[in-house]
Amino acid sequence: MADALLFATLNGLVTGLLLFMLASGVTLIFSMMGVLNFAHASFYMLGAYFAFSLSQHLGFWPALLLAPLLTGVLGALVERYGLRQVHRHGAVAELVFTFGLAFLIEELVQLFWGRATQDFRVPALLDFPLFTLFGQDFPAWRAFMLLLSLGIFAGLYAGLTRTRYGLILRAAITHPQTVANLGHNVPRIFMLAFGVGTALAGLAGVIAGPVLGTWPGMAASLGSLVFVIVVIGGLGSLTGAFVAALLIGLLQSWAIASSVGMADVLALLGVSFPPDHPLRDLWRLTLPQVAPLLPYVLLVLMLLLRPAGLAGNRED
Amino acid sequence: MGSRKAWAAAAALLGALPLLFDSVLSVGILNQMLIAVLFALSYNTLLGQGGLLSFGHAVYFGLGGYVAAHALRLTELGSIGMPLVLLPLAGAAGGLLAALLLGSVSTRRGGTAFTMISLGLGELLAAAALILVAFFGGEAGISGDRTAGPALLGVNFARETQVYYHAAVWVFLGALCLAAFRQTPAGRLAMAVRDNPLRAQCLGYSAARVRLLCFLVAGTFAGLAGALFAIHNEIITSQALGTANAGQVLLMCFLGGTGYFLGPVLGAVLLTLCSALLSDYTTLSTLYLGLLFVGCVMFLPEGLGGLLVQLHARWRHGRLGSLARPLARCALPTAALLLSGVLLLELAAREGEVLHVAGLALQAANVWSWLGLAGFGAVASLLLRRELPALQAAWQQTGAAHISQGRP
Amino acid sequence: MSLLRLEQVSKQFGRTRVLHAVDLAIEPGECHAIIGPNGAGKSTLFHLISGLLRPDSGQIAFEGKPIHGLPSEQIARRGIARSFQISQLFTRLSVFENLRCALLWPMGYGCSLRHLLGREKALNARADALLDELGLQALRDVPAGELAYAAQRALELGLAIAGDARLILLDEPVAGMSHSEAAQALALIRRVTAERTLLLVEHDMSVVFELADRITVLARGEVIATDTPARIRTNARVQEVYLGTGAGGQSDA
Ligand SMILES: Nc1ncnc2c1ncn2[C@@H]1O[C@H](COP(=O)(O)OP(=O)(O)O)[C@@H](O)[C@H]1O
Ligand SMILES: [Mg+2]
Repeated sequence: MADALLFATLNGLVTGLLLFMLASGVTLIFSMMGVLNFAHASFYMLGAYFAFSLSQHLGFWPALLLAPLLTGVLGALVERYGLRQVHRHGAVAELVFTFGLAFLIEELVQLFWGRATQDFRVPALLDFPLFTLFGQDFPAWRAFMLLLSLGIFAGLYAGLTRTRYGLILRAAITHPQTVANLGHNVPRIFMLAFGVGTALAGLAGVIAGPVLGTWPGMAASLGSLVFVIVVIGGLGSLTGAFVAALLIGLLQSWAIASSVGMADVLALLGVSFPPDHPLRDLWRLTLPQVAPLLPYVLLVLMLLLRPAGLAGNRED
Repeated sequence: MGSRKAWAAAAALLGALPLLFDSVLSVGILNQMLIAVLFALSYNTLLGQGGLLSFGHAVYFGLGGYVAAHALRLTELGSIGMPLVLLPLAGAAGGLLAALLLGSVSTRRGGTAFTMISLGLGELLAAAALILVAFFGGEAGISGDRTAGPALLGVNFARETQVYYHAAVWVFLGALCLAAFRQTPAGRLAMAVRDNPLRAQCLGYSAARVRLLCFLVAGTFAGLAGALFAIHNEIITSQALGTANAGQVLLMCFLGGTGYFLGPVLGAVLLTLCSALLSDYTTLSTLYLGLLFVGCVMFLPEGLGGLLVQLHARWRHGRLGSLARPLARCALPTAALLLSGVLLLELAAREGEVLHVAGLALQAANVWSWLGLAGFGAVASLLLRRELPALQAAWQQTGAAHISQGRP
Repeated sequence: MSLLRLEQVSKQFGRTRVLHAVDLAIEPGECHAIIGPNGAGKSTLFHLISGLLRPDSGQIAFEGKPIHGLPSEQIARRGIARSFQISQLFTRLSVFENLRCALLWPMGYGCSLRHLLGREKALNARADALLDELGLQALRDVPAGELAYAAQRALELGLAIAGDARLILLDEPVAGMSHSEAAQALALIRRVTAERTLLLVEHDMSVVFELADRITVLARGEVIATDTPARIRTNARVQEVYLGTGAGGQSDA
């Protein structure tokens, strides 16, 4: 029991941090431009695919560096030539644009790489169990993911709070007009920030690709989850997104590792139902089964009880 | 009312279509088109009229379809004896019920909050559908035989045209209702709340209630469309309530133009036709639709419908003539650019195969094929860049003239 | 009994105290003006009365019944209409539609699904009459979002006076208008509010002194004085905080 809990917690942390890597970009972009970027997870997918292709020619480690850069450049181009154009047509159009972009990227990925899952593997250097506890292995790669994402956050945090660019960026988020009046090129700041956000997503893709699978559905599988996190955390709040990402990562991981089901609960209450009862599926539900639903249930509950989100102060 | 004539014409068109296109295949496509039209109209009641961008509208379509599919199956088993012509009503009731249950959660706030809740609920229902096998039928879905019910006036719905005319009547009635809804106080207030909820509240209307009402109407007619879908296919699976289906209807509305009642109709017809016909020629039909969609959002925010309305206004004022020259000068480079883009994509999709175009044999393995196409496209885009400003200027000019003339 | 009564109403945003212990009584039929420097809290006061914001403490009563804490639509239905300092219009609807929407509740349609707007003769006639009164007949079918500034302000006023509200709150109705436009708007305000109670925020002193029966001076969220125009002119405290030293010299004379 204790071992299962430990591993579930570690895996939950890895997933949570990965989710935060994506959610932080979405949050950053939302605070700046007021756009919820639906295509963010698609850049995560592109990161994985770029890294896969690059690693075949250059090896994994250069790809780890180059793929996020490439993704970021692509993101900046999308901002410059796509989003900025659509901005004039209003918020709904922007949202719909990013939605269409996600659709398009998925199609393009299928065009260039096909529908099958790619054989993107953990580099040999880190392909060993870091430690074995109670007969279960913890892969070194997961530890690397954990460390890398923590390192990125430390870097991002320091960058935002300590550097000149970070200060200008944070000012541009809240007071774009003033920053423009001070002589800074706000559109370029936005483009850069969009690039950085998508590069982060790309990096997340590179490190997640080998373990979660590099396939055309990988964006969709994570995309809505990232939104749930951003909303639960409170639109525009980085700390909120951090807490929500860890919460959802852990919650899902625990739920999957558990073996509790409705049947146990009913047995505890001493109730039983005939096997062909019309609601039989409900009585047979198990926690691992409903694990994928939990984030959405949490989202709806949150929006009902605390519409501004965990740390949010924006009223829509 | 001038619109009487328009409705009569629409009814005549609906009646004549299967006579003009009478193969089983084309009647099938017409059927899909009808269903898409009603679904898109119901979606635009939310998006265009109420200003509510939903990513979960397929839920109501799907649930309506499931209700109808269950009724079909029970009729087939002999448990109930529901005539087929009443099934859409059951579907509409299903959609309404679902909208009642989920609506109060969804519509408390508009804007981004509504969009996010709709996405959450959509994902929730789609995932739940896979778990609750008894109602949703798991991977296999729920199927039934539409000919099993009691025949009405000798019609047993074995033939595709019978299904078509049945659907046509319901879609016509549905469209009529949705058009009428725009003219009711509630429907007009939905537009008011879309534009300015604050002001609506200060005039005595509860924005949340108006949104809910709009949501219920949209859900009801989505359920009706879902029932028609279930009847046409005689099966429904959880795909019908997934986010992919919800995205599809969003695409239709944006393509046709959300600002006009007929916009979604145009979008639904075009999209159904494209997906049905394109797939015969290319494996990339969804990619082209995606490109069309993104291009539309970027360059035609009012959709094709908006473009047509603008053109019509210019035509009415006799100003289409001054557009003809710049338009003609842009047409060739545009066509060339599109052609090179399409060929590049097709080339990428066909490894190993040879693509024969105008006497040329293009090959993915051959670098010159790529370079040639890219060069062709580059030349075309350079030409287009030179000609486009003239067209834009002419467009602006004729538009401005129209406004100053039409409005004091 | 006062039509509207505020007692010890306070409001703060975060740590900023915007209104502090405001007492105000509006008598039926009067035209009451609120003046005060920018940022005094006048618009916030209107938001509190109309229910867009809730007071942190204190009571607001309309016709003797408490209304603070009610949602804004309920307050509107009890007979308080308002205009905004920054026009709040239904931007994509035509001028005529804007006015018609404002009339639906007062004329008993509410959110009806049973009526078709085109067939409601009384409703349309009243909207058209309002259009005439506001001088917007020529712009009848123009979307509100495309109107010029003065026409937007006229429509904003129209939305406030369209119904049968007993109390009308106008937030700087003529600010930003040219002299002649303002004169027209004032004549209109006087005409349409003849039988009603009016609470008005206005910067232009000549307007205020001409229109108001009583004036309340607000500064830094506190009521400095409430009195007739003549006595406000000579009130020493008012001069100090509001009218400035130049006017202060006059009062000494
Ligand atoms: N939503 C808000 N949040 C924070 N401060 C606000 C808000 N609304 C108004 N204020 C502040 O309250 C004060 C009063 O504003 P307002 O009522 O608009 O003044 P007036 O209408 O008298 O010019 C101002 O200092 C303004 O900055
Ligand atoms: Mg003010």
